[in-house]
Amino acid sequence: MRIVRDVLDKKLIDVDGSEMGRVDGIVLEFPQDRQPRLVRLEMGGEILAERVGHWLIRPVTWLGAHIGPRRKARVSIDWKHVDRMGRDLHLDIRADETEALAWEHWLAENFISRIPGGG
Amino acid sequence: MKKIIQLALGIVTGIGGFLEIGSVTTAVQAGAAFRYQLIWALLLGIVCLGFMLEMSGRFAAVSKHTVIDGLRDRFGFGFFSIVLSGVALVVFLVLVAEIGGVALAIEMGTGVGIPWWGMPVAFLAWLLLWKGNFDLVEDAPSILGLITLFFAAGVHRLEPEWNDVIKGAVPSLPATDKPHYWFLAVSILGASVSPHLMYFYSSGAVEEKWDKTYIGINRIIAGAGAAFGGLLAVAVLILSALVFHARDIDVERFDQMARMMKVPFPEWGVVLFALALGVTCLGAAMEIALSISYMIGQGLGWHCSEEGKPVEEARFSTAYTVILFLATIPILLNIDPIKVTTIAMALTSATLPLAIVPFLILMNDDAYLKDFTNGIISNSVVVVIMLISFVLAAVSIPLQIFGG
Repeated sequence: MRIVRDVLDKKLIDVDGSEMGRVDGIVLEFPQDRQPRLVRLEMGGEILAERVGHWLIRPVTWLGAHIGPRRKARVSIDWKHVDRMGRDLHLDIRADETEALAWEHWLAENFISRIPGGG
Repeated sequence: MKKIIQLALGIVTGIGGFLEIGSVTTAVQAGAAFRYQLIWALLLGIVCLGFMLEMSGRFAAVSKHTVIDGLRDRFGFGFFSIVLSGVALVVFLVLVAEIGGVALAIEMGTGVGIPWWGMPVAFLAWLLLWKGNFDLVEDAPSILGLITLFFAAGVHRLEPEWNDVIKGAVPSLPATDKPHYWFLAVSILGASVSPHLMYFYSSGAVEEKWDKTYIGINRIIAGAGAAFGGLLAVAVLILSALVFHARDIDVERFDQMARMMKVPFPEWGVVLFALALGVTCLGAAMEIALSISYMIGQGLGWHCSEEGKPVEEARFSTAYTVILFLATIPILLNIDPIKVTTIAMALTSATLPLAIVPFLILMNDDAYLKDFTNGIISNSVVVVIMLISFVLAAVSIPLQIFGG
């Protein structure tokens, strides 16, 4: 497995087959005298901002803290939940067990379902 | 049977993809200023678009993913965000122009100014997206768009000199005003080869769950669709040459453009032109609002679909709602839709390599396309046309700006 090619930026599919975002970041562990280990996957605007440029981190973090669902800046998913790998990564948990869909639910509840025809 | 219907609809969709404010404006300007001399640019655009649509359909049918999915997971977020923002900004300008186009069409019918119509038009487009599904968005404007066949009928009535028309298929230098000639060639290419069409087409193929059995049918839909829509744009160019060039009229406003249909159809011409413009621009506006939302949503891994209720795709529905709203602001500020169109088309040409180079890399990657990667013909045709349009854009846009 090549971590960047096969894991980073891949789409995450939960156990019910719903799309739950993409792998925005990867956390590795380097234990002494053992092989490096992939610990968890991370998602969130802050991580994407880090990847684009440092100047973006502050505005994105500020926005995340002041508008929307105000979830934790990054969503973490333990590597052990990755069930199958291919074009997409299939997990063995449901999207709602994580905060991955916080924005989706927040927009659905606060706006979309309140517009006629939305729900 | 289902495939036959899809085939017919797919070809008719070529009208929606091709004929919209960009190609109508550029074709009219080209015909008025240079008679048939720029037909070659339209033909190049048709060929390039046909190849690119075929590729995006094949990509979706084999990989079960959209082109946007591929761009994000093959190139990573950094590069993806550059392509996304470049293409999305230019396409957003086109969206403003399309909404302006519908507003203009209504102005022709009512006499009430464009700024008043931006909001209602965007609302109508939004309502159709909100209530409708993908088929409605793709098929309804296309079928109503058959009204553009009147452009072909108009050409038939005015009996052009076909020998001269055919000569226009070969590039030739104009006697005067070379910068304007090349600038129009660039705008025509930009109007024909809009990158958002590849994203929209591949998203449609994924929404309709295409698989490898669609590879053949996809080839016909893409080729015939681009040819059908493109030839209607050629008809617009010919009509404009017959009506405006012959009378030495320089077309700068849309109400002038409508006169082009008044000559072959004295009673209904203006109404036909307004209807054709309104329907095609409305369809294009809906497609573009969806395309930008697909770009953002698929890039971030959201569930994006025009099939379910808005609440099931809250972020996706929010995206097209916000985009349509933002696009009404320039209209309220009374910008000139023709100017926006001209700028947007030239910028599209200039930014084509940004969209096409990564796309071609994807199309040659067997991790996505297995045994169905691009052949040498597809690759060379698209690379050559992309280079032509890029070089022309790099040379003629500065000329146009500094030359007035």
